[in-house]
Amino acid sequence: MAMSDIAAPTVDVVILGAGAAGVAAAVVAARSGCRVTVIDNGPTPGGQYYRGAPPIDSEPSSGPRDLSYAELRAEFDRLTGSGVIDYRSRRTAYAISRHDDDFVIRLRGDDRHRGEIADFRARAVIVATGAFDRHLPFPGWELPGVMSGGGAQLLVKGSGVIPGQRAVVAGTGPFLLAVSGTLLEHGAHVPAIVEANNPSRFITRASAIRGGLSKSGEFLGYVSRLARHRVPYLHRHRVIEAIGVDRVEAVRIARVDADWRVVEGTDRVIECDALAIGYGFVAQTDLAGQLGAQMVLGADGGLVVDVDPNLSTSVPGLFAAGETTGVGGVEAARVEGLLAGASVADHLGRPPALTRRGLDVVRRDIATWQGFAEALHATFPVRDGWRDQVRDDTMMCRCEEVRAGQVREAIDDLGARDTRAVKLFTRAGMGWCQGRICSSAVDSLCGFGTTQSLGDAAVRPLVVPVPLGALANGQMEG
Amino acid sequence: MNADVIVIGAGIVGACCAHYCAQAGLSVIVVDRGSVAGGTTGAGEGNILVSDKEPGPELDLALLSRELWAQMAGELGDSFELDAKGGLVVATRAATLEHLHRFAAEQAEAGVIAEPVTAKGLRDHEPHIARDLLGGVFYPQDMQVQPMLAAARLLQHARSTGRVTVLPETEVLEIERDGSGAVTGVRTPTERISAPHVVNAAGTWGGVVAGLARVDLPILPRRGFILVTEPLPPMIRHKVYAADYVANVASDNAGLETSAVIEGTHSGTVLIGSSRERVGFDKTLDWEVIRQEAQQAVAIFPFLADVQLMRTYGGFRPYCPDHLPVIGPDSRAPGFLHACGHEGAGIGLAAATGLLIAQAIAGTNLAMDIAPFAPNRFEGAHVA
Repeated sequence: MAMSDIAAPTVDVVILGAGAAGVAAAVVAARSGCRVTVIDNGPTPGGQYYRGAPPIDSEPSSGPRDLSYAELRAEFDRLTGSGVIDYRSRRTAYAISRHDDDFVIRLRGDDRHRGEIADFRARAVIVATGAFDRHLPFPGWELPGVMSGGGAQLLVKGSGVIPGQRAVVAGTGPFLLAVSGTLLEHGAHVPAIVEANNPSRFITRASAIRGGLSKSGEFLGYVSRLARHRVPYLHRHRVIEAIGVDRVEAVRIARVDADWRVVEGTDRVIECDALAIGYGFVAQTDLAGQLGAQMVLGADGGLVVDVDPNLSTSVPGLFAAGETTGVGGVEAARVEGLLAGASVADHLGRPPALTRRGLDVVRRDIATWQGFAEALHATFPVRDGWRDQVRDDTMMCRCEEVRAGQVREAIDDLGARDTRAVKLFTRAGMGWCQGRICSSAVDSLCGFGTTQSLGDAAVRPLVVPVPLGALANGQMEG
Repeated sequence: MNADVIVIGAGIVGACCAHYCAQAGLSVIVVDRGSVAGGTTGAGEGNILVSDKEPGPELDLALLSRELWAQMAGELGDSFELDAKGGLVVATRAATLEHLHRFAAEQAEAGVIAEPVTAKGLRDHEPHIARDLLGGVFYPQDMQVQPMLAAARLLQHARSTGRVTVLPETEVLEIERDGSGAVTGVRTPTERISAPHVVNAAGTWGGVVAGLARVDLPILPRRGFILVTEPLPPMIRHKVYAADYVANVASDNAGLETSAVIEGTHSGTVLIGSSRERVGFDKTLDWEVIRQEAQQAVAIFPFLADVQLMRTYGGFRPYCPDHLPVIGPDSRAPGFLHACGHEGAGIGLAAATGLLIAQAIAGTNLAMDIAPFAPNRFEGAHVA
């Protein structure tokens, strides 16, 4: 590989992502004396959960006070201000590769920095790129007014705009409650929360975990707030169709059994002008995948990066933290970030920043939050019955307008026997989002999946599109 | 199970073999260890080119093949996006233009339609092309096809004749031969399939499949990849590439060295590929090569500078030491035929390859001389 043109600055660690995990990892690694560069596509640190909002002390936090998110974020800002941490906002790493013992990380700017690209060389990398919404197609989900739960949160928190006056929230998991809470706070009416699983078991499961009681309390707090707003919280119900001509005007919901199969004769229509859907999250593993890191199936059945107890991946020098190792929420992300920061410093032969006792607390917290995540996924799994609602004319890939019938034809008539072939025959997942929205659903509909084939199919050569002119010029950032 | 012919490989070449064998009245079983079109067929841009071939057996094969492609598209009702868009080869330097015109004149003598284009004329063919190009040659016979769909639709059509069975996810473990050395069928993990003819259409894995019958075939993989942009309104009408010529001092012949081939597709994306690379590729993405491809593409179509590269994809081209495919009966193993090693031209050459294989098996007159493609031509030769 000709690399003579890459006059990229070499740093100790590049941390990809400035959410709870990335911020925590950066602070710990910097405390050990590592030269750290943090790359994030958001305008401010904080990731999907904090979204740059100033940290609130009342946010749930465990362990030593100086390792709370509020303290870590304050220290991150100080270290960024003094130049110890090189923080690059509004940048996305579109590709990563190995060169000798180093990593080469290729960045592009967001639309404000169109055309700007830069390369970094680093001795170690922490992937803390979080997760994105999991989508499960159903008839009408492509209608305007239907959006992901994460998308609704972004809209409301980011710009104060509510997606509609009457917004149904549907899917599975406590995230639905958070989305509903945000919508209610901003003046929307929520006619119903449509939960496909039975959430009552969550309280028992979460309370059984040491430290999990606060989480189940938080959950109950959400539920009672919704009760005050008289929002019906329907269990074992799913939205089976979004109805509307130019945009969503109503949803058809139905009772489902434990496998999410519709109970005949239970469907009814709820009028609404928006629908927020959340079926959990898919770890953003692209960059680790480009390096060939080993993947495993996480507790929620999605593909995640395989890590050892120190959060080292199968690629030496590559670490992963937060949702990329298993979708577990913001607290799990923070403590994993702490450990990844400590592990990367150790890998580079730097003195430890955390005391042995501090590290023990971090490891114990990680175990706690992993247990919590398992309780979450055990209570709110995705069940196979969702596929029964997928008709041949149901849209699977919105970018390329591929319907379920075409996916089935590719397998039954054209001889596709792996997801790559299905995608090449139908163009599913080949559009603008590069399969982020439809891949997990198409994979599931095909039903081929081994971890390896899913992992191979999931590798995107470019995480985000890059202008050809910028690539051609090989422009370097100053 | 038994049939007249077993075809190993359900890529484009295997599909064409099955198609023409069925047409000749033969019964066929197509086996593939994976998906239909799951190998190199799905890793290219679907080129059916005559423009990049110098006079000789490969050009003759290409000229025959493009006629057959047009016929097949007619028979199958345009179900695989065959587009007779034509190719435009452009020159950036005076010396190159001179070579290009000489090369085109030689091709014309061999039956290629090659129309010289002036610098100004380039813009009539391609309104968005760079203004600083010196001229070129237009090749109306160049075509493009969606290669995976072509393979799948051809196999679907062949199955509808009732003479063809397709078995995906069926790996051949051994090609069986009798005491006289003749092939008698294949063994898969679950069964034995007998047939007096076995066709090796395994593409890049053709050498491995030949080994299953204990014959040597020097087919090597060469990685190539293609850049795919975001979807755009139609901006590029033809296959467009810049020519460069590497003079072979010893023979005074000019060998064509192409840069990125740029073209639009039905879905609106622009593909930037390379028709024939002389450089080997690393297994991992080589970003320096991507940078060069981007550079070449932008030099020919400046508007591409603001267009986003969305993804890349790649695969392994199968090639032989003399860069010619292997087509026809293997005299070392009676009943065993090869149809592989087409390098970067497998889609384009598949149709003629399938026809010739069917003719060889049926014992009818061959549409052209296949001696230059003989499987045993490497015997005794030193293979590096």
